[in-house]
Amino acid sequence: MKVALKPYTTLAETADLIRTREVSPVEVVETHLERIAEIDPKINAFITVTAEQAREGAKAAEAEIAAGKYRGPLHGIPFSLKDMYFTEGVLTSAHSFVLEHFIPNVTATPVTKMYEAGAVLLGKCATMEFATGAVTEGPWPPAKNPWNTDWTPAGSSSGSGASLAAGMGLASLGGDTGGSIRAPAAYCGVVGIRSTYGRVSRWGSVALSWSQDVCGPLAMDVRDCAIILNAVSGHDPKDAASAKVPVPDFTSGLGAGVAGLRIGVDEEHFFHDGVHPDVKENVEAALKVLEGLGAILVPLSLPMLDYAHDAQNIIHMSETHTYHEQRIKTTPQLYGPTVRAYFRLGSMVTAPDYLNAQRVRNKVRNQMVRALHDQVDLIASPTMSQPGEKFANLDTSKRFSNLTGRGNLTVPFSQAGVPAISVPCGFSSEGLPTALQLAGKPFDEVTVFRAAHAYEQATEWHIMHPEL
Amino acid sequence: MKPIATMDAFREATLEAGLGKMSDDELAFMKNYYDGAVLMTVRIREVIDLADEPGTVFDAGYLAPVEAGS
Repeated sequence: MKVALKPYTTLAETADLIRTREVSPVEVVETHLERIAEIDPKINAFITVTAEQAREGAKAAEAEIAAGKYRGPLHGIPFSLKDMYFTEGVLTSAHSFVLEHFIPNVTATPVTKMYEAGAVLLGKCATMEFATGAVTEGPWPPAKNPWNTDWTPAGSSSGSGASLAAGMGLASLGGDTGGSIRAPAAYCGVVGIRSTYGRVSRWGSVALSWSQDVCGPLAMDVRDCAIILNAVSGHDPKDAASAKVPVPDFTSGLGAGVAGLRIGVDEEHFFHDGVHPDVKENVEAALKVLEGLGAILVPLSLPMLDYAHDAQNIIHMSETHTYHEQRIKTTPQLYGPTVRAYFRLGSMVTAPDYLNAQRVRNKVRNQMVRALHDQVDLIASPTMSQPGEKFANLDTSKRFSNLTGRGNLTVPFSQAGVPAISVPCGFSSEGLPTALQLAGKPFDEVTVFRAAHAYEQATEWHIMHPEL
Repeated sequence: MKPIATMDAFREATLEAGLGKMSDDELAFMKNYYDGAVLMTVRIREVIDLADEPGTVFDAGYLAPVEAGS
């Protein structure tokens, strides 16, 4: 018997319906294309909608499944991409005038892996210019937060987070250098994981800061995120940082609960006075839920984390400048004022500054990883210190003064290279989502998913959606 | 990176860095970023301690970022 596809049916639920042939990939894709046509003019999540490619992919998936060649839970599933991933024959803009008409002739490794798993590309999503700049300086309008369109969805995987929160697509691949998967996941009330550095190939994605960049998934819930990470992980000789490590089934720990897991909490770094009271209250409540499920909360002190953002910025601006050096000197007018200033600045960072930043990064990493080995299984924090930001309050000239020191809660985990997930944990008094961040040992995403899933299933935040 | 006190000196520094001519507004915007970056490099130097880094294990950080502490 055929069933109608309800809005916000998850990837895993949809996959079951496809597998049992209660819905066809064609119906799924058409439902999401209709949703995009109806909703996206209000949200601007998409730069490019690949409708014809999606319809062809859905028909091919339908035929394969009918012939008994079911590939797995991504077969016939519509997904989107942050517009930083090369897609053969499809615009790849990085949301910049620099690449406004760029059509690659290759496809990024994670996208190829999604295709091999049978997933169907719905379109390419808005970001910040080159995943760094101001949201208002590119050729396309910025994505808006579906919970309140006066507020940003954060970035830089902004369209990815916004599209999922608005029910447009079932999966999205984003990119995370300092927090660009977790931040939009948090502000949009969806789930996003930065996996261990090296877990997912970056080949074919526009580089931002190659010693920190990670590609990875955003989805409506934890299980969906784990399913996507299963598909895109694995060694790729084309990415020099790609790790040669086994890839477990990231869904294998789901349902195992958190009884006995030690969760570290660094009050001084992650719950300081700059953290919004609503965020603090919701994350503390989330920790109580985890404790109630049997987790053991352990106080931690990780003072090196206070330097993580300093190191991150110096490394970021140096590497980004190097990537853009030729273009920023020959065609500076194509860059927006924010990225132009930031990318140029990298040429004024000295080699000792850069190397010292990497040394400090080592200290951050070593302190955190040592704690994860000796004291705890996971570290918990808010994902974002604030419950959101209004477009009207954005001021890119304050970039550094706003973000240095303890202001940013995602960067320490990026610097350490460890896996970290963002999972919804409530709402602010203004109705914007807040989020819990859980980080684990290098290459132990299974435990990260396990704990996030236990929390998610004990609450109902993940099944709440904005009215659009 | 060293602190640069005046806009004229900053303009000179950007020219030396090969960044070409910029408008006054653009220079002022960039100098704000530069001043922030200088503070970061100062903080970074505060926590560099050779005692933590015997030469035999020095690791620039970008080669295998997850392995040293694991």
